[in-house]
Amino acid sequence: MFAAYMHSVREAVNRRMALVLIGLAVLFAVLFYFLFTIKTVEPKDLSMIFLGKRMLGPASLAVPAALSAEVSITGGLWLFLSIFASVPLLVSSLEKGWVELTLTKGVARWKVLMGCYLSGLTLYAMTLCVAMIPTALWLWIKTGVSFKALLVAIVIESLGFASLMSLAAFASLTRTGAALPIMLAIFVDILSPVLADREQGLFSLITASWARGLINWIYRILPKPFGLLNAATGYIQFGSIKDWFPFWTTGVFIVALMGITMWMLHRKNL
Amino acid sequence: MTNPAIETQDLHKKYLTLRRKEIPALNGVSLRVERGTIFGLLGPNGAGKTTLLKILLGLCDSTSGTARLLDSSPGDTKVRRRIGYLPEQMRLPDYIKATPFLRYMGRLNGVPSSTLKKRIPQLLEQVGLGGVKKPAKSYSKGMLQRLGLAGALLNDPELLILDEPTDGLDPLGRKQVRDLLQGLKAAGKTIFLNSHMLSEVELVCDQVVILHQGLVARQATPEEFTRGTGECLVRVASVNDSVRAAAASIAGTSAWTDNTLRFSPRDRAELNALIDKLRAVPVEIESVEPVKNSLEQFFLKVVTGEDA
Repeated sequence: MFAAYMHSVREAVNRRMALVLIGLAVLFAVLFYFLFTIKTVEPKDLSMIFLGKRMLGPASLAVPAALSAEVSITGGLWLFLSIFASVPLLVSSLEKGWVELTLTKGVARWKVLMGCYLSGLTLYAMTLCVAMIPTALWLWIKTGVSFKALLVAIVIESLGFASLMSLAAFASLTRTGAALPIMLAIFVDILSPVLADREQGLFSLITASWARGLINWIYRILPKPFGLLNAATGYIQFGSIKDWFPFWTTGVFIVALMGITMWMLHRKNL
Repeated sequence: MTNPAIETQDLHKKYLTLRRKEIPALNGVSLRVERGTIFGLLGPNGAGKTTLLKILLGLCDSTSGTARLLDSSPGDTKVRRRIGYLPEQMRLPDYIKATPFLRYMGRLNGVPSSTLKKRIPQLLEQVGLGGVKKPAKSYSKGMLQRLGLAGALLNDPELLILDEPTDGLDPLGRKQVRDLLQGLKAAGKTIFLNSHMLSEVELVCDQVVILHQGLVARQATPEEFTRGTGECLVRVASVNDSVRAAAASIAGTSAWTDNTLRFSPRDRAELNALIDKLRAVPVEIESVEPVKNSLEQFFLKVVTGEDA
């Protein structure tokens, strides 16, 4: 699996997807650095954080708020960009003319696909770190407010991305190119906030109880990247997780779908 | 007696269409490939060759019947580490270069890095790609084929399955591949060769199978396929009525094409009698050649049903 993982990472770099994402991440890091300023105010030697000219407040309160804002801004966009960058890695691993070379070797099929899947996750988590950690590190050095919560938030967001990647991995078994897996992942990503806020949004349009029940079930089954993003920002601000439902349902979804995908790949006539 | 390198028994494969219609690809293929031999697989398009290869490589399952490779089932990852495979069509990522490609193939087969470091440059040299640094996208078909061959040899396999190995190669490249195959055979390797190049198959294979409509239509050695027909061609310097009459007295209704007589002697004595008659005319005899089937002729007879 490690060989497939490393090959996939190299492929991402050589296809320049990783470089584009890293470039964007550096751009975001620089942007965040210039967005926030720290000024020490009298009389208590208090470090105050400013967003532009607007004072956010003392560091102990403003740093979590700033990091939370950073996660909100970056999170959704990064999911979107990373789908475009990572899904082709899965698809190319199953291309005709290539599988005949790789899947006839002494390695289980699932390990090859899992290697590509993990490299996509690494690409996402790594570029997210590049985008957010420099600012958090700078704020920590200047104010002493820890950024551990941000690291937890990155892990939470990566769980959301892992769920979308598992959908893409499943769709890539059709071997019809990258369009279907990308569209499916993006569709579920877009659907996630709609389903999360269904009571205020969808249910004002849909009144039939059976339809509402169906939507509730769809919400329960599908992964919840939006819910996880909210949980990540909430964790940075409050240091705790209020609702574990998005976590365990998304986790179950990933395990179940990846299990089905691996089993189908194992059984598939190539 | 050692176990064969490949053995299939009554192998069937049916593909299902979306409308659940069955399309048979293999209809009971039984064959045996002995260790240390070069085995040729021939057949027209749609005969089931690719399906058979896919089953042997574990890329697809058979509907019924059994296939064994090196005393194991085709799906066994351990046995696949002892097999080298060159596919007919390779699609490499554009950016990849020869050494990283071979390193990846080697790692997938569990070849240690230290071995790969030594073996990759040797193999690239052997297949004529030593010193080539450009990425695969700029490779010619022949170069890709050579790279694939190096990939198939990377794990020093006991069994080599080659799908059209000389496709895209120039005559010199084909000769190099033939020599390589003979060398591998001498080293005790088993080679399973699927090729449309009948002349290549005739030159290197110990056993040949002709697959037709999902069945083994014939299995024999190339010598058996190309055995003499019992006829011979007698070429003379010139033909006139007395020559024709002399030939007719021995050969009956004589079949002349220009200066050449096609004749089926009952035995050597009858052939000598014909030559004596012709010499007595007199006419100069330029050559006497036995008529042999080429593998191509035999192949065409089998697939067109003339051989039945």
